[in-house]
Amino acid sequence: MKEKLLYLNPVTLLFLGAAPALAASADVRAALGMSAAVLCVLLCSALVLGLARKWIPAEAKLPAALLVVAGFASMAQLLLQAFLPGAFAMLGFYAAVLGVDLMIFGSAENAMEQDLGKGLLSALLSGLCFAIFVLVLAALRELFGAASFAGNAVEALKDYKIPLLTQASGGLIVFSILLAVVNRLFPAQGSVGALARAAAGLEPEDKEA
Amino acid sequence: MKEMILLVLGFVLVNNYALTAYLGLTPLLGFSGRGEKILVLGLSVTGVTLLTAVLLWLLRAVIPAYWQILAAVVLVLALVYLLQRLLGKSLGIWFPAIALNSAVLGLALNVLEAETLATVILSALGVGLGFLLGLFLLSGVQERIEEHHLPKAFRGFPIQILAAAIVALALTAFNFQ
Amino acid sequence: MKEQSVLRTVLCLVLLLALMAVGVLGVNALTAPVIAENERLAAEAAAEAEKALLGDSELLYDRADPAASTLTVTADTVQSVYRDSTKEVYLLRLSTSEGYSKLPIELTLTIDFEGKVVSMEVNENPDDKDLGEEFPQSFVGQDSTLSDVALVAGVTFSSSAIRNAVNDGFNTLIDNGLFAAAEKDDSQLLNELIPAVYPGIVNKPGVVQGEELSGSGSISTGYKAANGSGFVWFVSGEENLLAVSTTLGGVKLYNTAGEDVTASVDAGLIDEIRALSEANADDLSSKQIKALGKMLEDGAELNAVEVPGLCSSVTGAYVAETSEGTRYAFAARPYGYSNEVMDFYYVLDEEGAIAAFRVSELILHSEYFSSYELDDASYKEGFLGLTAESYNGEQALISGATMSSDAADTATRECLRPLRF
Repeated sequence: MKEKLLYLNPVTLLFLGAAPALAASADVRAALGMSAAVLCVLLCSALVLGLARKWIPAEAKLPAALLVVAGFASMAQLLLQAFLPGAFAMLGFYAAVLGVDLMIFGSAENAMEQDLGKGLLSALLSGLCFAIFVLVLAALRELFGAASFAGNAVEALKDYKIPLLTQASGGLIVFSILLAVVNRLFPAQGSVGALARAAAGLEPEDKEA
Repeated sequence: MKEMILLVLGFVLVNNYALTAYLGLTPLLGFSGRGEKILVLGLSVTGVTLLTAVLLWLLRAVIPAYWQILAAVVLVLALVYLLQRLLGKSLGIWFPAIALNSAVLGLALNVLEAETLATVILSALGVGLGFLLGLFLLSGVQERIEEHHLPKAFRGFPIQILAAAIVALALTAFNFQ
Repeated sequence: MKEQSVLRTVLCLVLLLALMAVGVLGVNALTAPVIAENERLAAEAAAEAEKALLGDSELLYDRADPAASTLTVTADTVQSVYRDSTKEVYLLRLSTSEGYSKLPIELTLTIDFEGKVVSMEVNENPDDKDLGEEFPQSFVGQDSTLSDVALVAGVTFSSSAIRNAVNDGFNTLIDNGLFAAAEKDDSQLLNELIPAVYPGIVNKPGVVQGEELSGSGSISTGYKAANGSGFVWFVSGEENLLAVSTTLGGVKLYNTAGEDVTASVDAGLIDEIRALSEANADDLSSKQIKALGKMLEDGAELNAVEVPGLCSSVTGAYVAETSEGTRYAFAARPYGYSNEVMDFYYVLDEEGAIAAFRVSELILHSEYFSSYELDDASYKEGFLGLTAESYNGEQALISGATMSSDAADTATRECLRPLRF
């Protein structure tokens, strides 16, 4: 289905998962932690929903996905707090927010429509795509915003740092530029609205609701 | 009274959830309705945020910390379901904008440590209205984006984020010391 | 059938919820002990670090237990002093609440036995702004003059609070005879005179507000006050001097000891300073006359007067003969929130009581989001009829907006004062 292809494009993927991507991209260590968390939640949700999909009635699909993702997000947050306290200190709150992340939700929806194998594969790819993008974003923001890499100061760049990059608006700017670059390589067709619909697992419509 | 207004304004302008903390950013950018639809969505989000936050706060003594996220999500689903029954039809595209809105979950969790119910209510109102403000601002910007003038790479999604970035930058004016 | 499917939906969701809840519970059981252990280890590490730092140092002074102290400590900021004979340093714990947030900033300062700083660490900084790494580093190796420590732009309140606390630490050790004070060079001595001799150019913590200008001849450099009240110039020569030249008060010169040496200086130098100041001055008089004119009962003409020795935030002084009698009008421009200049206007009657009060923008837009309480009309009315005797500072207070309050207080005191000359 065209909408599903639309969903699996890296540009759209990241647009959907913008919130955790941006939150974790201030520091490379946070990016690593978040990528790990996102990948785990993606895979676990895909697994559970892929296995259970035959027993889930159609009306329950959306809420089911949400519950499963929220559950795994809770677990991810706890695991982060215990085993990666450094990353947790930087983004612990956003691990909770993964529970309602559109990208993960989209992947979960997807897992319910396809066989287990395909669902898991697509979850894995989404997770890797997210990880690569966020790490690059974090590297850029940290190097040029705070002249450091994973917390280690980089002397050469100290005089050139642009503090704006470490703030919300700066992060959005770099994000958009990076997204534009990815868009050039993997052009995403379709409108923003159609994408949102596809991610939510809704039927495409001709007009807005 | 003044403190109450300032608390709300704080969340609407200074600490706008979507533009300064990325919470609720994707629904904000993804919504392409116009006119009164914006108002309706904004108010729905405000309402759901308010009810979820209040209910979760009231139950905070009963729900252990590790179940808070699940509880919040259950509350949101229940509210969305009620909303659907009230409206008599499926929410369609609005479902992700309300239920999968990080701002709703974000606020509900953030506000659990608040000491008074009043703070919870006011913060929720602030966040919801901040979302509404974001919708207004961004829809205004979106109307003016003439895509054929943009380089191909920026068309579609990247320019939306850049637009949000500039609006976010404008709001930082409220946050200097 | 519909009923069945609803039931099935709900059942399915409840099962999933239960499954997830159990999962989370399980993970929590797994992680809770790890998290608790992490916290315990962190607390232990902190305690170890404390022990390592103090070692077997001798406690010389503890604010919590003054009776056990061997030192006399007058400064409020000094919390405890230790002497470490192995490392040959004094370790001081300082706490200052003069920073931006007025919450305590905690510092740990170590000074060696010769009186040089070994380290300066900020342990707790409740002020929201980032001091940067250079500022704490700049203390290392400094002696009691702290001559190379510069305040951080944009964070002047916090950095000046820290600098003052370190200064207190030094003074404590010096006053107790542990080592001698280092000598300050002339430039530093003259700079430190500025808050005392020209209050109008510094903000509350004593930081000069203005742009640096270059002089000519024996006048090396100077500062132009941001509020237009005047200039300070540094004169180099046989004796290095500080010149203060204000719009209303004329020129005064001070030597490094802080003595007024205006009388013994060459008249040509005074003229040079006056000329240099006039060349660089902005003309505020038309704006001030306009604003003050509106406050007079019958729009009488205002005549500028000179008030010798005035070096405050007052930028305009005028006399007018109105139908009600003689009126004295003043314009003051103190530094308010974020060091922005505010405009205050006062009209005083013959007895020196305030007849009219005006301020351009009482709560600057930037302080708007702090939680202040202000009833605009009654606040302004509260100034009417005040004299230098009846003004006690309370009338200018705006709860929750300390910087604006301080500015109003400064302006009011300084405008009520000239008539006592």
